[in-house]
Amino acid sequence: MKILVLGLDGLPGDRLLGDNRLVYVRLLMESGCFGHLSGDLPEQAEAFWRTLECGRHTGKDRPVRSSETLPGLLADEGSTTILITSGQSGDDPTASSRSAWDELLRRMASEPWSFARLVDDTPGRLLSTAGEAALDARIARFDDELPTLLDCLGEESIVLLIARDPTSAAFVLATSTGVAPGEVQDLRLDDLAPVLLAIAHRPIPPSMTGRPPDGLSPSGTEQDSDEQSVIDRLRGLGYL
Amino acid sequence: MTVRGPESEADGVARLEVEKVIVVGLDGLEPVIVEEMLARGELPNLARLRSVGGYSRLATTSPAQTPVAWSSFATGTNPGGHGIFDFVGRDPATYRPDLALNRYEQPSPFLPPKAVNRRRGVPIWSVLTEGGIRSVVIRCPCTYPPDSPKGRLLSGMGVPDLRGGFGTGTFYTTDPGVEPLEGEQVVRIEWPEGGGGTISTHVIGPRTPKNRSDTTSPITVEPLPGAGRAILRSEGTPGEVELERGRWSPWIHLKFRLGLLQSTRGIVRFFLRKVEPGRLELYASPVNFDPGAPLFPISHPDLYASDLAEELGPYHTTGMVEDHNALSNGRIDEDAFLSQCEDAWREREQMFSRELQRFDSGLLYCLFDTPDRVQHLFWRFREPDHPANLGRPPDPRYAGTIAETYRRADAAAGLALEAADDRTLVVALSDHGFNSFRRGVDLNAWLHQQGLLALLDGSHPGDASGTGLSRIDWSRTRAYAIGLTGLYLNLRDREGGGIVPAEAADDLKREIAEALTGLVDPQDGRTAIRDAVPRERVYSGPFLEEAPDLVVHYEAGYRASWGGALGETGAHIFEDNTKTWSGDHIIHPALVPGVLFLNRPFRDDSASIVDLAPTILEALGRSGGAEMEGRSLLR
Repeated sequence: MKILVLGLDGLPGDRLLGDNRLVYVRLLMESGCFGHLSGDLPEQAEAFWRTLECGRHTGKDRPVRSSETLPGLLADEGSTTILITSGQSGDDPTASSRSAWDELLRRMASEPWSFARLVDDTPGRLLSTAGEAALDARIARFDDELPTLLDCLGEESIVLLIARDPTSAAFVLATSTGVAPGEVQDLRLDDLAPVLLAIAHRPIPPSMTGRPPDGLSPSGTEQDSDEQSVIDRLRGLGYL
Repeated sequence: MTVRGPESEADGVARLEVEKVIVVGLDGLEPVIVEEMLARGELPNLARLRSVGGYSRLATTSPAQTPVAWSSFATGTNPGGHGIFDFVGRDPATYRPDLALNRYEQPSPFLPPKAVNRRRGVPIWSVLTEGGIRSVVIRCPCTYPPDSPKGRLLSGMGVPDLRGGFGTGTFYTTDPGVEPLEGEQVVRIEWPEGGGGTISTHVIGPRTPKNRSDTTSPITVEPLPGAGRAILRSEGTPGEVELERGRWSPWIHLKFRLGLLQSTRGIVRFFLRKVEPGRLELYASPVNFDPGAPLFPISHPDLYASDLAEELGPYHTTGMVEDHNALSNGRIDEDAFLSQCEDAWREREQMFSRELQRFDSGLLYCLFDTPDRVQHLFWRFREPDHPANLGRPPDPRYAGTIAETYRRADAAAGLALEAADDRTLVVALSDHGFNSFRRGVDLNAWLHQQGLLALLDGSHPGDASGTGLSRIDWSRTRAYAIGLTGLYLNLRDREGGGIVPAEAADDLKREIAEALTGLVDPQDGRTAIRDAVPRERVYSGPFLEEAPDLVVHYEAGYRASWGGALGETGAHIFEDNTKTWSGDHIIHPALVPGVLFLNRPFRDDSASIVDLAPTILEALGRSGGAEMEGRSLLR
């Protein structure tokens, strides 16, 4: 199982889910599920991404063990973990973003990886320094690069896209095993790590406060609602 | 044969000296035919079993249906103990028909759906597993999703095709006037302009989870009318196959994309029916799960299905292997159907032989279900005056087809005998017998006539509009029928629009049972229904509440009508059955017992299918749970 997490820090959730120009993001949304995250969202970027990986809201109370975070829990023997954070204040945001994506692609293509995570803080920096047009251009590039990244996935894979800014966050989740398609309500930030572990058939450590929701159905799914299709299937029996 | 002296109950188990039990399941073998053929010396292996051990008729379940009877075989309980009462059930809240063998659950939107078996109870292989004894179970009905015995299991009836049905084939034709018939898809194709060149079309795969639209995998067909052939190319493996008129192609492995990351694999075979200048007719089998990468698990351990495919080649994985709809719909002819049956036999014989070679202890079960399918479709050739032969006299070439399939069944028993040593108990049995299906009985039409069932305003019995039970006015309906033998009350607090109060249920059941018992067919004055019985008199156990309120037992020659089985209300109570599906067995169980052969002497006076589980367990030194109702047949 290969698990890819792409974080776009500083991009409002609506921009990820609502921008029809992002063709590949749309395709991922169509083959998987998506939604806005509900509940408390850390205002600070660092706390947000740490919560995502720990499956709980972490204070500074105690150190986080790697056996309690996604990279540690999802690592396979003999495989590598790719963790990249782009951008240092002072750099040219676009250049540092490009170099981070290039590194991600290079390592995904060459290493026997099982978990890869890129957090790109360029969107936030571009918005504050260069404005909407620069952000648009960068996001479009990001969408263009998605198919190349997806080509580096194996037969069994999970892709999680996250966009966040201090007041909102949204996700897109697609898997090779299939998830119920459509919009998901009421998913919280600390639920995401347990969800990924559940899809990967890994145990969820007790330290995680989030849970993969059960019984929660994405809106707009109708399974076998069409009586005629049920009857058509039954007719295949011969007896009917 | 082991010669044994008198023994007490207490040490009987030890003295049997059995280490292995081989069960040969022969679906639908009818005692009358078996006995006639035995008398003629045509079933040498079954004759040998009878002489070294014994033979008897075997009482079957009510209803006498494959999934019901084999579940009783496996669990040693009546249907009230395992919860399989019919192929078809209904959701009482919505009155929607549903498949009663299994269902799919999605525990969380983020996790893939999983199949859930609706057969409950404890099958013998689970009891044996507790005792550390191995089982190998091949294709037992209602083992989907697979049970997890110590040993190996390949799922049988209940496994769907990739579309989720029991088997939906596709007919490709250049004739624009062809409409889809039952259980099939029709794809219209265009003969290439100018004669040369190829036809582009596709294989229909599963529906996408998102919007239920069809996924497809592209293929091209290059007709070679002069040679009676066509070249079929696909994106699968093999990428190119030569189709020959009147022959099945090898299996083609295809991939269907369900989403950006998600895809699934299937296998399909083609049958080239017609290739003439300007005209092409091609049939594609239902797309089966690829045994190397099934959409849902079909074996235990997971890799067993794939190991078999690697060793023996790809094989049919759907629960109903034979394309009976293709024959009924006239898309393939009898010879093509029998050629497919031949493949089904060969596949199963190879699996059985493979396991016999490795078998050193415990239980080995293998089901051969082709005799059932052949008898359903070829019974008309035994009865020249069968309504199915009206206007199409039976071809004498097929008069012996059923006997041929019995000889093949006998050969399967022979494989077991060959592998058996003096510490092996060999069991050959059928789950039910067979009879003619000449007249259909529409219970909803009868209920309508009795004033117990009302249709919505503007609807009339026999109207083609609406599906299943959808035209019934529940506010004025006290009872309804769906499935092959079941009748339900429209019970308040159970049915979504129930009007019959609980305190009136028993009287209503009695009233209906009395009126239906002995129902006469006005056409010739024959009795069509032997009896109708409240469920409490037929079943007991934890799942009694899931049973139909009344069970209807037909006389020989009758059965639930085609539309009635799906809950429709026809214009007439009785109708001729003119379909190719001309034999059936869903009548009074006393009329369609199965057969039982053992290579050891057994108590043969009143053997019942629920006795097999205790018999097998006793032979292997285990006792059944308290739930098991039968008793060991071993003496």
